[in-house]
Amino acid sequence: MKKLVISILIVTMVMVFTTIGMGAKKVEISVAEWGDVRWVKDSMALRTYYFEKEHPEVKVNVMPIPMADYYDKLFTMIAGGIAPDTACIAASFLRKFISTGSIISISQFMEKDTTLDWDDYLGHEDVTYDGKVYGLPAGRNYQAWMYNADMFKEAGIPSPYEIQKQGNWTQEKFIEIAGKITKDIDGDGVPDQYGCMFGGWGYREDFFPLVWMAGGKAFDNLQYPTKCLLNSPEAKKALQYAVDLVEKYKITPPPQMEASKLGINFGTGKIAMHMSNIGIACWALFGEWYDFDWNYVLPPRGEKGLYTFAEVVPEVIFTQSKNKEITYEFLKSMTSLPTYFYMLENRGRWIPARKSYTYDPRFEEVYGQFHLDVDWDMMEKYARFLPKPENPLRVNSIIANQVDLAMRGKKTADQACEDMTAKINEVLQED
Amino acid sequence: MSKLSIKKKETLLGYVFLLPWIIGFAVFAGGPIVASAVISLTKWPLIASPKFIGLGNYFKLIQDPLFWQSLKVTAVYMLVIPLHIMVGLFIATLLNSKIKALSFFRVLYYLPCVITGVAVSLLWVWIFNPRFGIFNLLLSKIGIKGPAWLASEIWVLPAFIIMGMWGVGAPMLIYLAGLQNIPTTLYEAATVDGANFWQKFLHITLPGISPILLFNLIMGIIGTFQIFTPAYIMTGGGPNYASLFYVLYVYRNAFQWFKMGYASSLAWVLFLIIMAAVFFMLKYSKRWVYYAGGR
Repeated sequence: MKKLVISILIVTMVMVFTTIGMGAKKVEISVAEWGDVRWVKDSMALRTYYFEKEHPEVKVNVMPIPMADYYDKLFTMIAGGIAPDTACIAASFLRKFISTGSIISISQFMEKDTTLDWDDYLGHEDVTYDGKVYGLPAGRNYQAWMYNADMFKEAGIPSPYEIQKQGNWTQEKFIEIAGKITKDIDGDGVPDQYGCMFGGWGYREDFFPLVWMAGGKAFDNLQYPTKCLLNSPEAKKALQYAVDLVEKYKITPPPQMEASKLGINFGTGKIAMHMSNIGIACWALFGEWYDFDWNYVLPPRGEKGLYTFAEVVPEVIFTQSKNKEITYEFLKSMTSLPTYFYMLENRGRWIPARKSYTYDPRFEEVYGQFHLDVDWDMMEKYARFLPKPENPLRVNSIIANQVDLAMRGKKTADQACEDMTAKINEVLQED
Repeated sequence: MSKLSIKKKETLLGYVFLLPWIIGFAVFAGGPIVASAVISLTKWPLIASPKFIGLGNYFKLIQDPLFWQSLKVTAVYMLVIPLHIMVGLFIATLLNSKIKALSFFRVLYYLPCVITGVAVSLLWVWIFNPRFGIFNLLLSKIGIKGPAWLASEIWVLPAFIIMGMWGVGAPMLIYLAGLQNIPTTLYEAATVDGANFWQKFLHITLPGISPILLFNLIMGIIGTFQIFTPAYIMTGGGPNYASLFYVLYVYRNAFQWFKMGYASSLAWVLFLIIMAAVFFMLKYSKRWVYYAGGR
């Protein structure tokens, strides 16, 4: 009898616990983000704060992936049938994911959604293909020159931002002030500090705005490029301008110096201006990266106007996701203004792709104390989106190689432009 | 079982011992090998359906300048093999003698081999830095202005070859084991006969370790063809493809440019090259390799 009672008790307990366990089982969604483990986890803790509060039944699994292997890893996961539910994807990489059916259009959810303030999101063109939206823009980047304000003060030269405000910020002026700062301090015939660094971010990013400002175009179509136009006289002129920074004016370190690696880089205080992006601002500010006064300025105006490039980083939903609707809710929450202001309060390193964010007093309250001279209106006004070839990594590697050869003096700017165009067109035809 | 002859029993037992490896190979390597052969006949962008194109990828690679460039880069880098053999053998010979702190030196020379490839690569990026690197600093002490090693088309491969010497500890350890297997009686007899150091080295040491030389040569060839991490981390194949090693090119095609079919065809060509090299080595090894207990 005693044994029977104990057995019934055990069976009952097992059933009760199993039922409780089943009832408490959470829906799990996985989100892949690029960056180092610590940063991604810290950042996602802030970005998921409201969502997890509002959806206790959902568990968010964060998957940090190093930037260098990010897309390789995502594609391999897709091929293996284990794609995450969502991930951030730079807009210039989006097309490959769309053409292979790896991500879904979120328009189906947006149409039914009455609470989404879509007009407040920046970069609609960057995430819209054939009238369908493929991701909610989360982060945004504008290309801008970051400058070391202390070096300008020491040289007794007005800062680039002051020059820009005076309306005199041109490519010629840029060369002039960079020349004044470039110095060979120890007299060994090699400059120890340079006025600027070209190619510090990437040759494509630094080269395209020069082409636009010379009046040229990189491709025939932004979203579906079929022909590369980088062999135009305007593009050749743009590349020649970049080459002259090294060869003629000697105001930027030559590629052979590997300055961006362990030699001279902006952080060492020996480069007065380097091409960077606004997305870095929060990192540099909250992380106290530099022990000198620094700020941003738009690229100097070229012959045919002023252009910079912009890119948004959308969060997408993968076709393989089994929880698409809740993932959409998750994306909305991650890109909502309350989440962004919660991040801001907690020094979260993020520049959101939301219009109202940068005009909110709370933003000014935090960033204003750093005297960040970013003119967001101008950024928005002069920004162009990057073209989106099917295989951006391959196209980028061709551009990087040919610009590098020109910068080293191994090819003329004209020849490099001709060669990169021919090679890119081959790739475009293959795709 | 009892009716089986001893020889057959031995053979059967041999296969039983081989079985775990055979199963492992069939499941984890054989399947992917066969799959890659099939994939090499397709155009497959990894996340879309493959399209059968026959030998198209193989015809294409003949006309691909980067295929030839990667092959050339890898072939030039093979210079590291004789250097490895000579330096490894030299150090092993030194460490085979009775010197003080022998264990310390053995550990010291082998230690670099246990450090992960990425860390080693980052370390060498610093060592080769043209302005602040220790290599150019040392060269400047003897009045030589060092080049921009990793950023120079001419110097990037010599830089990789120099760096390759970092791993000399692995073959050294095998040589050391080989040297200690040579019976000392042979040296004693040679000494009695009046042989000097070189004569003993040429006629006893070298033949004695010739199977190990062959092993290290084969492993060296295979390893050299498969070099990837340093190039991926340190130069990304640049400048101007001057350090585009073969496997790096395979990787780029497969995982960055999403040309899995083409990458598979490149991998198969690499396999055929390695197989031919090893076959050649084994075939001609009979002329110079001495097996003490060989049949």
